[in-house]
Amino acid sequence: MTAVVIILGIGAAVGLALYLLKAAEIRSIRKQLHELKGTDTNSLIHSKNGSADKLINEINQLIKDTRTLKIDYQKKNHALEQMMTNISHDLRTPLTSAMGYINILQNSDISEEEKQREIAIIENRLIRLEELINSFFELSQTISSGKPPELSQLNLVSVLEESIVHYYDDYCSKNRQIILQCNKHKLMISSNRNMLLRIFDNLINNSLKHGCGDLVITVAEDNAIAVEIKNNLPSAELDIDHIFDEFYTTDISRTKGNTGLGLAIAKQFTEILGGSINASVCEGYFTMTVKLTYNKEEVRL
Amino acid sequence: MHEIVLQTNSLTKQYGKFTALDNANMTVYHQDIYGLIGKNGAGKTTLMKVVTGLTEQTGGTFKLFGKSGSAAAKEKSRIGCLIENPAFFGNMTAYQNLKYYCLQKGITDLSQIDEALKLVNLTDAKNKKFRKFSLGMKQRLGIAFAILDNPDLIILDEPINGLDPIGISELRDTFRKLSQERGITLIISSHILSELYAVANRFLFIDGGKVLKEITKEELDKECSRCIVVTTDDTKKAAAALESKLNITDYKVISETEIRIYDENAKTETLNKTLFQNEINVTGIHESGVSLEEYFKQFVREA
Amino acid sequence: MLNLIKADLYRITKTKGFYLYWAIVLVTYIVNIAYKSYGGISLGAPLEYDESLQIDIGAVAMNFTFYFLNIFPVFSIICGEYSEHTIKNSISSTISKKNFFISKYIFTMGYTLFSYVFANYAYYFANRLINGEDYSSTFGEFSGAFFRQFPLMAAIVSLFIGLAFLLRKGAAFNSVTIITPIVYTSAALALYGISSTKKIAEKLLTYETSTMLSRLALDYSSNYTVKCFIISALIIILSLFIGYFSFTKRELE
Repeated sequence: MTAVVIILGIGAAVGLALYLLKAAEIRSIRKQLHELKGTDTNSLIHSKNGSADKLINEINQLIKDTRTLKIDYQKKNHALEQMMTNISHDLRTPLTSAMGYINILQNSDISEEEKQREIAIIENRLIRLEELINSFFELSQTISSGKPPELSQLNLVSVLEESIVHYYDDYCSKNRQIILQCNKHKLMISSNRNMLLRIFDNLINNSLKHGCGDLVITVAEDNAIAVEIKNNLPSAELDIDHIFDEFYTTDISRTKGNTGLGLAIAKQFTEILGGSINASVCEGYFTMTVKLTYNKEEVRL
Repeated sequence: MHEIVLQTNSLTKQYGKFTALDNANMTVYHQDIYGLIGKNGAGKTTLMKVVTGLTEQTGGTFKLFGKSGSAAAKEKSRIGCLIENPAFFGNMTAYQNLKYYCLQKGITDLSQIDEALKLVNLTDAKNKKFRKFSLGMKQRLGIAFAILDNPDLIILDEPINGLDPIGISELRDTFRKLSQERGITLIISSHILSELYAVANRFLFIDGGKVLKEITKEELDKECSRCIVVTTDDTKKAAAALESKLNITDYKVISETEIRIYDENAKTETLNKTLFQNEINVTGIHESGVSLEEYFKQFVREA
Repeated sequence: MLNLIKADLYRITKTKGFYLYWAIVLVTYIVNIAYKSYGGISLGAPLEYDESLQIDIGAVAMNFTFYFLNIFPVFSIICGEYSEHTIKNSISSTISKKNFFISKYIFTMGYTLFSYVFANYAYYFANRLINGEDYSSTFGEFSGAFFRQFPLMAAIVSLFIGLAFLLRKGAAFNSVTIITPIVYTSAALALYGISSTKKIAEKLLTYETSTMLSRLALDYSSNYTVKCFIISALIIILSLFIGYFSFTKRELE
C-alpha cells in the first residue's frame, strides 16, 4: 500500500515537473519571438530547458526562410534599381548621339554626300536603340509571361550554322575565325527555333564583343547535347558567378555600348527550353556551355 | 542602414596603477568591418574584453545595440567572439567542443555545427581532437565558435595569427561574405595594418590604451596616397592661392605650416613658381607617398 | 542555467575522471561483496565495531573513499574550464558570471551527490542480492546510516567547489584536497604527543573527516550528530562565499 502511494507520488511529482518545464519553455519562446519581431537580427530562438526542441526547430526554420526571402527581395530590388539606371544610360547614349547628328543636319550647310553619311550614322544609332528596346522587351516578356514556348522538331546544327553565318563577317573584320567542331550534320531536337537562334546569337555576339582570338564551338552529344563556346579572355577581371545576371558588365565593357542583357536572355531562354547554361574560366580561356536535353529514341526514329 | 551597433564613451580600464584603456571613444555601425589596429599591448584586447563583459571597465560607458548597462549584458547572446587564444577542451573533438557550446547556448539545431565548420574549412577535422590541432586550425575553430549562433556582431582578436597565406585570403572572403550576405558587423583586431586594410572599411588606431584616430578607408587611402607636401609660414594665403590661381581643390591643411596636395595634375615646379609669385614664403616642397605601415608607425610615434 | 547543466552533463562523459571514478567504485564494492569485508580508506582511529555489524553499514562507515573520489568530478567540471581557459567562451557570449557560478555549483553538487547516493544504494542492493539477508541490514537501517552521513559529504563537495574556484589551477586544487586530511591528522597526532595540547588534539581527532564519516554511520548519539550537522552547514555557507566572491570579484585570466 505504502509502496503504491510512494510510486504514485513520485509519478505525480515528475509529471508536475515536466509540465512546469514545458510551460516555462513556451513562455520563453513567446518572449523571444516578441523580441525578434522588433529587431533586425540574425538571432534565432534558443531553448531554455530542452522540453520543446522540435517546436523550436520548426519555428527557426520558418524564421530562416523568411529571412532568406527578405534578403533575396532586397537583392532583386537593388538589381532592379541598378537596372533602371543602366537602361536609362544605355537608351540615352545612341539617342543623344542621333540627336546630335540631326542638329548638325539642321543647322549647317553641308554637301549632299556628307548628309547621306550622317543620315546613315543616325540610322545606325536608331537601329541600335531599336535592338536595345527589343531585347529588353523580349526579356521582360519571357520573365513575366511564363508561357511554355511552342516546340517543333528542328536541326540543331543548322540553327547553329545560321547563327555563325550571321556573325561571320564581323569576326573576319577583326581577323578572328569561327571554328565549328561537330561530327554530325544533323541533330534533331524538339525545341523552339527563334529562341535557340537567339541563344546562339547572344553567345557568339558576347564572344565577339568581349573575347579575343578564335572562337571554337564544339557540339558534343551524350545524354544531353552540349554546345561549348570557347575563346580567349583579354582580361582576368570577370565575376563568373554573376555574368548571367541582368545587366552584369565589367567596367571596361560599359564603354563599348553593351546592354549586359545578352547573356541574361540566353540563360532565361535556355532554362525555358529545359536546358542549362554555365560559364567557366580556365587558363585564360573562357568557356560557356549550353546543355540541352533531348530524347535519343526520338532521334533514331 | 547606419544603425550604431557599438558605441563607447571614454571607456577606461585600469589594472592597479596600469592604465590599459584610457578614455577610449569609438563608434561601430551596422555592417561595418571595423579594424582595431595597435601594437601588442596597445589595449585592443582590453577593449574587447570590456565590451564582451569578460572584465568590467573602471570608467566610462558603452552602448551595445543601443542599450547600456545591464540591458547591454542581455544583448551578449547576439555577439560571437574569439578573444585572445582560441580555448577549447583538448580531450574533445572539434564537433564535441562545439556541441558543448550549442547545449550551453540552447541551440536546438545541431546542423549549425556542421555549417560553422564548413564555413571555416574544418569539416574534415570534425572528429579530430582539439589537442592535435595546429595553430591555424585552432584559430579557425575559434572563428567557427564565433559564428555558431547566428550572431549580429562578431568580435575577433588577432584572428589571422598562425594562418597560412591561403588561409588568410580565404578568411578575408569569409568575413566579406558574412558582412554582405548576413549583414553581420565585425570588429577585428590586428597589429599589422596591411592585413586588415584589404577587408575592413573603418579603422581605429590605438596605442598605450589611447585611441589615436578613428578613420574610414577612404580617408586612409587619401592620407596614404601620393601627395605634394608644402611647408610654408602662411597656410591660409597659400591655400587661397592654390584655389584661385591653380584651381586646386583637392588638398588638406595638415598643420599651421603644412599643406598636402593630392591633385594628380599638380606639379612641384608650377606650385613653387605660383606660390613664389604670390609672395608666399615656401620653406619646403617635396613629393611624398607613405605606405600603410609607414603611416601607422608615424602615427604611433607622434602620439 | 539548465542549458549549462545539460552541457556539463554531456561533457563529463568525455572526461577520464568519469571513467576512473566508476572504475574505482566498482572495484571497491566488488572486493567488499566478494570478501565480505568493509574495505575503504580511513585516516582516523580504527573502527570500533562489534560482531553484529553488517558489512553494508560497515561499508557506509568507510565512505571516506568518496572524499577522494569526489575530487574527480569537481576537478573535471571546474578546474578543467580554468586550465583550458574555456570560461571566457561562456562568459563572453552566453551567461553572466553570477549565473555561471550558480549553474556550476548546482551541477557539481547535484552530480557528485547523485553519484554518491547511486553508488551506495546500488551497492546495498547488489550486496543483498549476492550475499543474502544474513550479510545485509534492513533498508531503513542502511538509509539511516547513509543519510546521517549525507550532509557532511555535501559539505565536503561544497568545500571542494569553493576551493576549485579559489585555487583555479588543477594542480593546486589536487594537492590541497589530497594533502589536507593527511596533514590534519599528522598535526593532530603531533599535538597529541605534547601533554599540554593533548585535550585540543583529542577534539581535533574527534572531528577529523574520516572519523566523522565513520562515527556518523555507526553512532546514534544525537549530540555528536547535531554537532557534525552544524559543522557541515557552516562549511557549506563558508565555501559558497569563498567560491562566489573569488569567481565574481577576480579578473578572469
